[in-house]
Amino acid sequence: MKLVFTLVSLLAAAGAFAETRALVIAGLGGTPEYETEFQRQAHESAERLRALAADVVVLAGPEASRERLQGELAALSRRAAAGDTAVVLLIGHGSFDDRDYRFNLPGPDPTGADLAAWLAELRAERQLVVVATSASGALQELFADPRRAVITATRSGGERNVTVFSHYFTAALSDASADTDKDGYVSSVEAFRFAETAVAGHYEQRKQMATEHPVLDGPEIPLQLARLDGGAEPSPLPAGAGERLAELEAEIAALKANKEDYEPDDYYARLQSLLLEVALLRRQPGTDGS
Amino acid sequence: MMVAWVLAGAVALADCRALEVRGAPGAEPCYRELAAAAADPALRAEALWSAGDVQGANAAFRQAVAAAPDDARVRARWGRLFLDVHQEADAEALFSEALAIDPDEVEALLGLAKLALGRFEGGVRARVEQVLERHPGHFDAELLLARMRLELGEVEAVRATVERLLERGEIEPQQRLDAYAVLAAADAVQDRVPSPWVARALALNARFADVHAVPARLLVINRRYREAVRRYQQAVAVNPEDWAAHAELGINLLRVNRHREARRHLQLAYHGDPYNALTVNTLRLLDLLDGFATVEEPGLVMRAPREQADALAPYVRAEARRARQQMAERYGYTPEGPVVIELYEHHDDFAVRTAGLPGLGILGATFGDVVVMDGPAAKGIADGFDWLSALWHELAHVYTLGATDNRVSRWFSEGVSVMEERQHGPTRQRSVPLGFLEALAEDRLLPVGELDEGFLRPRHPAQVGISYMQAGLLCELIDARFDGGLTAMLRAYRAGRDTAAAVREALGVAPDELDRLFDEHLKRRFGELLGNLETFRGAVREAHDAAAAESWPAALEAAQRAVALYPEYVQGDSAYLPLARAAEALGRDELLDRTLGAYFDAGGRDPWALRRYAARLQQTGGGEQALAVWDALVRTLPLDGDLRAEYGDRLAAAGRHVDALAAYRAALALGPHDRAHAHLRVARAELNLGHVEDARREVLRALELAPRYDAALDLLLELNGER
Repeated sequence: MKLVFTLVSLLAAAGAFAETRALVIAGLGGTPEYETEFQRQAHESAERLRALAADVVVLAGPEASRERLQGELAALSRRAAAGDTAVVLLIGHGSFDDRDYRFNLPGPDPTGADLAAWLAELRAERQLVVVATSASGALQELFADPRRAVITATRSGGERNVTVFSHYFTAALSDASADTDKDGYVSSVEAFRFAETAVAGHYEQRKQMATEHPVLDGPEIPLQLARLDGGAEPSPLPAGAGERLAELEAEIAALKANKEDYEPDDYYARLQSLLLEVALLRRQPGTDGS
Repeated sequence: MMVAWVLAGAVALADCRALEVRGAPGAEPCYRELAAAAADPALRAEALWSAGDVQGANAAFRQAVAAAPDDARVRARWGRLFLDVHQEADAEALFSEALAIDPDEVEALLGLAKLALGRFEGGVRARVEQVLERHPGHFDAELLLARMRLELGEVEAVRATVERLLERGEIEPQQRLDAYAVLAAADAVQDRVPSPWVARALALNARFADVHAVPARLLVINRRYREAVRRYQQAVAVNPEDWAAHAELGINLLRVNRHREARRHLQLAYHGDPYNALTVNTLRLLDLLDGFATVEEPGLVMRAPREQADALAPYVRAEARRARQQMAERYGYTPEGPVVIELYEHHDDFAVRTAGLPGLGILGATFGDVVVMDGPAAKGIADGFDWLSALWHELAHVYTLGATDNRVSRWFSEGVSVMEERQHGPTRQRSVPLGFLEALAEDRLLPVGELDEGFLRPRHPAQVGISYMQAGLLCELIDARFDGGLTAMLRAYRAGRDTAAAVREALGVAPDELDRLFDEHLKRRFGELLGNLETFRGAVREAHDAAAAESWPAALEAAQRAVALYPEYVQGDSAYLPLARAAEALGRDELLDRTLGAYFDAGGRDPWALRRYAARLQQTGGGEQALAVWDALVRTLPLDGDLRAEYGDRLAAAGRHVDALAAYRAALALGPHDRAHAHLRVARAELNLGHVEDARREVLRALELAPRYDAALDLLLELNGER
């Protein structure tokens, strides 16, 4: 029932026929523990992405070679139309020797420059690239593109220790508390903020100096990554309800933006009035399945 | 060459010194004139230093050392210059170089002793005594030793020693002044005010601020901060350019909660001496304190980092109120004004608040009725720190210090505080650390008459911890064996008795008899364990090792052996923990429940164990006890917002809506990631209490953040009668 709003915003943001296509890669673990953990994160993330994406390809273990990664990115480029959204998620270890970033894969490692060149071929107008590895901050500048939001686990190539960012980024895709706007979806920004907070808490709790500082940079892309609540399909909106809900949302946003202009009681009275209409509209037959 | 400059310069330098000692205005021009005329760089350095030109003096000393590299005294004097400008590492290096040239160089030996004294290192007294062995009767060394003995309460002996020193014929005027200051300090600590030594000193040098600053420092060591403030005020009145006295005055004004005046004196100190780390650190701390939130109620002022204050305040309030009721009755004292409690997020900030410098080993300090301590963010249960127990410990100091007008001995105040923690604190424990038991087994405990030294000048690093425990157990014995003994001791201290006299007067026994009773008591209580300490340690280690290797039957067997030997032991490496893990892994539910219950009842607070215990109780129908365990868990980790929200859920499910609301509010105050949900929880709790308008405001706050929030929209409809 709650998904009506999200449908509205997705349609508004991406156009009626836009699709999300994703590629998830688990790099070399180096130890059995990391190997298992990176693969778990990759498969779990892919599973969550599948609820919304038209196709999700996972590369893990021996398959996740440099050639396969290059090939799958090229395939993604072929599949993704200009209006689509491409999501690329790299999980694992990275290294940086003060000149080149390398993503650790079985066999030869692709460098940052390799990855940048392959990503440049993507046609999708909206791209999200998440590099959840050590030293990934070195890629921010290299990956910069007006069509692309880039998330890295570290703020520079100098943060070379193993990162925990991917653990929390994966967890965000199924954690209700990551969905801070309570629309039933976890957006890329929400997932990033959740992981960023969790990473800080991770080090704080252990009284350790944080060796990773995640960064989200690039254009604001309204992109829902995962759906909560078991992934039910949104119910259809009754005629006219979608438009009115969108208007109400805009009015609420305007009221919030001008909050300082109102006395608190007046402000909350106005807010309540708008929200009550939202609540009632939402309960119209056909919107909640009842 | 060295002899030449001394002879050539001695007259002029002495002339300038004579002017300085008299407080005469011509001293500085005299030094400057001498510096301009002096061909010898060492003499020039001395003159520039005395004229206040530290940079010039430093350059001149550098030249002097280059010109006479084998002159130990020049290096030692240069070291003293560095000591003056608080560059301790450089000072230490120069003293060491001087001693490498001449192991008997007295200025260097004393310089190192002063460095160690300033760092509260052990063995300083022995160092000074060694200086006196090499240089019998050395005036400055005698005086330094006298000051140290004063700190340990040997007032009469010091008075006699210093008066004898003054009978010597060859004393320099500055040495005479320094001796007067020590005697004035002896008078101050014995309440002989006004002291005749002050008048004598000021007659000799009207700007001799140390005649007040030295007594002030001794009053600080005796925790008589208000009197110390008055003496430092007199010191800066005598010499408004005594920047060290301004700095100390500022630091001690902070200790009596007079922040605005403190800042003024610290700023003056900084302008006069920007090299003093104490001043700079404390000024920074004042800026930090400006960002703290203050929570006030009658009898209490709490300060804490803004984002933590609401989460901590309920616990601080409750303990402060309980202390006001219980300790006031137990110790016959009620603070006149509010008790101030400051909780720090970072240990080094607390350390600066306490001692002006980071790196302090203690976790809490009480200055009269001002308590400053590490908050739960600075140290946690994983570090062996139970912040609420520490608060209770510090609150007990407020009462023992207040009841004795700050005249209580260190060991007794600490002893009562440890006893309070163990018998009446928020987490009561009977456990005694193994380090203490080892000291007991090896007869390494100090006699009661010397127990203060275990705190003030420990002979080894572990002695402080051992002394805390010893003092606590000794107070427990006094409480149990001598009716009204604790309050009688406090009365005796208030009347100015030292420990030996207080024990005789209050308990009617000689100190060595009390030592004997204590030894008997401890041997009776821990005798069997003392004979098995190694066996116990071995079993604990074995249990933890086996648990780490997931060898559960072996872990269970070793842990049971350890627990049987010392069931009260719930310190961080308690055997209850591997025992519980083993019982769980082996599916021994009944043993798991019994183990977790015994651990909790003995005061164990490991978060994993408490979570498991609460969950087991929930499963087995022990709902009320489960909430008690949850309460202990949340008290232990009060800044864990998720935990507090979860506790709120459990309280709400049990119908304890007032407590649930408090838990949810605390979780919200801690700035949760999911703020909309936190507001919704508060809204529901408000509604459960019938507070409809509060609930409405909270649900609107949730929806303001997340207008699409279904659950909140539902509640909004409910509040408006739409469902």
